Amino acid sequence: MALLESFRIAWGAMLTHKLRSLLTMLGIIIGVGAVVGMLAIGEGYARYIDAEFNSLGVGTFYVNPSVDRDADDETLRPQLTAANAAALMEPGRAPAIDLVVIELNRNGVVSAGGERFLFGVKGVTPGFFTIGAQELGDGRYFTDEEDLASARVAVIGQNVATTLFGGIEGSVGQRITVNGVQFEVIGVSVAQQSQISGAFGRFSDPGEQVYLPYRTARDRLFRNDVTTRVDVSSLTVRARDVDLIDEAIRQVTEVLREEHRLTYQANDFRITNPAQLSAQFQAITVGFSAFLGTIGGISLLVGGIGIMNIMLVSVAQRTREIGLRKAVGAKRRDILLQFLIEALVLCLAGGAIGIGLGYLLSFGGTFVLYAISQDPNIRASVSLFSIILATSISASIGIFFGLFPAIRAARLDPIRALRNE
Amino acid sequence: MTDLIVVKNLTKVYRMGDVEVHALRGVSLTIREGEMVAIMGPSGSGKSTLMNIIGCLDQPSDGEYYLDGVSVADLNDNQLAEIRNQKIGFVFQQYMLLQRTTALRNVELPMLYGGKGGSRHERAMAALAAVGMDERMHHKPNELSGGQQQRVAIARALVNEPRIIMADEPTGALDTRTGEEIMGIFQKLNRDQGITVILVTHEHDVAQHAARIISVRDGVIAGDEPVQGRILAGTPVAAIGTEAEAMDEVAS
Repeated sequence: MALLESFRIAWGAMLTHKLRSLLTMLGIIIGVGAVVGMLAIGEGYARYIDAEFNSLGVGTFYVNPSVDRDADDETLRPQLTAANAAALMEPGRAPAIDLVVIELNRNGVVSAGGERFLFGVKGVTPGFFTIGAQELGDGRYFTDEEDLASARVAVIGQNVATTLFGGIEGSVGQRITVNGVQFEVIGVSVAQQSQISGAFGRFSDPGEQVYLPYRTARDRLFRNDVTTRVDVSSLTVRARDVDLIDEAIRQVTEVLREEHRLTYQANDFRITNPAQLSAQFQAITVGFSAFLGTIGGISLLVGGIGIMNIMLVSVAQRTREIGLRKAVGAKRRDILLQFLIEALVLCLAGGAIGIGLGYLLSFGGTFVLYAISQDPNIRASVSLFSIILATSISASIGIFFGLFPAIRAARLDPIRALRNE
Repeated sequence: MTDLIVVKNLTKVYRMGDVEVHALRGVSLTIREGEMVAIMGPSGSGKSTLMNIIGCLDQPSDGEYYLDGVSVADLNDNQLAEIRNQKIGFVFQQYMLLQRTTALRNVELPMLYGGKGGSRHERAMAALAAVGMDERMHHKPNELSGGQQQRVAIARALVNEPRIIMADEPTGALDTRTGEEIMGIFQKLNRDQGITVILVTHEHDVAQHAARIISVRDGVIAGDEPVQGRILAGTPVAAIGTEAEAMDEVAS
């Protein structure tokens, strides 16, 4: 018998019992909807996390002067210096890294002649502006030469520019004082704050910062605020390649322990790898996915049993029809195929409605994700993959749970089937 | 005329729990092509079992059955289905039409499982025309009278151009006048197209429309003789054939 004809009969049978079919499909609808929605929200969240970590800089990790609280060594004092940064960049010592950025984070009183404001002051080496999501609104960043010369130049965040000069425009070239020391504004940064930077104790809004060359900040502003053991707030280290990050961490640890002359002691510095945190964030996604996936799985199982039940009812109700079809020449295969296709059509129709439900869940998920992240670019979206997956799951359920009733129908004895009242 | 159906020493034993029921105890008969035969007998006589075996819906426990020269006892399920599809047309007491399906679609049903080429629609329409139902081909069974439904069922039996039509109590659910019309159709198909017609009935009046009556009793053949004073149905003018043919019918 022509397959097309079987599909036509199946479609007709489904439309004849609209309500019954819909109720039967409910499990499939919810199951497929949960799976599609889960994938949409999960992917949206994963993309968001990825984007956030990329904004911190791909393949970077941080070194802080901080003793491990578990180290249980009273004599150990934190240690990290600009000299350590130089040692790390010495040829051959840590070949897996290609950049070390020094940061010295303090606050300062900033003024453009009139009112005075308290802003964050970041002394950084110029490499800082090559890591993560940096954006220059006007002017330029400072150079290595300016850093080495302790030049009195500053890049200011956009909020600082707005506060002092009423906007980004016209800020470059102005003179400001930081803790009484005069600087020339050479650039305005418009970098956005990353949502998850708080996870690393980096709550500072880049718009609220004044960026100075590291050595300028250390030698001209905070000379009394640094020691020979600690004259940086952190080092940001970039691995030569994302895949080399573990190797880079190992090499950096080794070099720093040498420099600090540590033997049996614990580290007097701490390394933070955002990629590991990223994994923790992703684990949330996995938990969420597992939850929706379980709901989906159970619904699909229940839905499949519902399909089987309704197909058994259908076979019982249509015993005489089956008998007649056999009498006029239907083979077992024809009857089997007819009922299998009916189950398949039911499941595929349920799957199609379920995909619609998945879209609804995905819209809802976008709102939830926005509420979490406040990022207007983040959205849960149904992918082609999940549609294909949902369709194949539906089809598999139709075939799997439809098989038993279909075999029953196919095996009916035509004489008894015809006599059935 | 050739021997279309040859049955030799046919037996059929059912097991009902611990009891063996001998439905047929050695039946032998021959039906030639183009005959119109009635199989008669009270309920429990074995006539239904005989019909099921002749109709290839069932297999005998023992004995031989040749249909058109083919030994049916050796065939498997699929081959039996093919024979039913190609060589046998069934007509049932309860019409057995698919309720939500038009007359035309009902008639097309056997062609879904194997046809003889040509357009399904055209052949189904031709079959409906042969029983005078071409005007109502888009009606569903619940929009048709009992007699009209049985005509559609006959069209369905005809559509694959079978050698045999097997009619199981075809007038059992109809009033006498309508039943008479249906018998007229069988007689016309038998006479004009040479289709072998086998009627299964327990009503003597119905059996009298055949040319030969085989009586079955207690699983054996109790009688097999030509009909004396055969009834020729007065074919209704509007439904079947032309007026002239109908006049001939009455005249003969």
